[in-house]
Amino acid sequence: MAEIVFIEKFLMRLAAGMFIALVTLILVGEKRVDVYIAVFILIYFIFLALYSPLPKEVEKGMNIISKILITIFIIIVSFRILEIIAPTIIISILGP
Amino acid sequence: MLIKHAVIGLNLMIIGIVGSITSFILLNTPELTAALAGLAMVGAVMFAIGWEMPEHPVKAMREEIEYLRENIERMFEELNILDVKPSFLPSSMSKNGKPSIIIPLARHLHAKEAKKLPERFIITIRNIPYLKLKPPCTKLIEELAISKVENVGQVEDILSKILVQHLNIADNVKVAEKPNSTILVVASKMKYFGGEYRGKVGFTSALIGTVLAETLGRKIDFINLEIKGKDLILTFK
Repeated sequence: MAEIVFIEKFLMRLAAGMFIALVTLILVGEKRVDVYIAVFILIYFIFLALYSPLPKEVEKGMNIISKILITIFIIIVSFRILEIIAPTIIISILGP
Repeated sequence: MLIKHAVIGLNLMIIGIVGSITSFILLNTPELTAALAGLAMVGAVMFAIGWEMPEHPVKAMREEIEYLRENIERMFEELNILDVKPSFLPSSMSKNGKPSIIIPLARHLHAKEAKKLPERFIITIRNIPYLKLKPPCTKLIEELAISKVENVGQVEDILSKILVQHLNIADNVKVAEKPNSTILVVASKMKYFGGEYRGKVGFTSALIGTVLAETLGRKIDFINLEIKGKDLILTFK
């Protein structure tokens, strides 16, 4: 039972954290979707670290999600870096 | 599987993914896209948890605990040891390398006598009988690799990790060592006091005593238990 309460606390705080980040970024006037997603991913990993270790049973599922999210984060950051150091590559990938 | 979590998570994930793609391509509103992407992320986490987490038959488990508790309580009552103050021994003092709780049946156990006790329920040292009990949460203690620490602050960290983070039965744990070498443990805003067990040392006290013995690497004697509102105050020596 305690495990479920712990997991629910994690879920609630993750959702609240993401909502706060969303409202803050909207208020700041951010228009880039990738910034929102990168911040959400960072919040996910922060909460995962704060609430680790999660119960053993859910570790497998959370590992899969973590791998997917870290891949998305790496892609977003790579595009941002490429945009600065080699903008021509970005143009060739995304088109003119 | 926690069906409620899995279903809600799956729904949120589908709504989030479909909605964010639609809003990104058709509506071109980054705020809505981001909000729906966030929804999909929370949904995915919820779904993964709901899918993986086993659902326990809580009612049956409660009944089983109640049945076992009542019979153990009756047994201890017959032996007249419900109010006896136990001692906690670290794993280094046991033959099987695991911490234990010693309940004296006649006379209190001295630290010198508590060396490498055999793995039996009833043990005799110099013809004096004692009960050697298995403490609670031994698996958790093993998993966290709890060993001897340097100061009381580290003991506090370990107890917080177990009681607040893992078991979620208290909001905060404080440990202090008095000049007369008694150790005071205060677990505040307790959510669970250990059922209706009438004995002197219930689940929480036994767990705290065992962790103290393991972290301080010596025999710990239970002195007193006090409940003030939602706070549990335990004294050990």
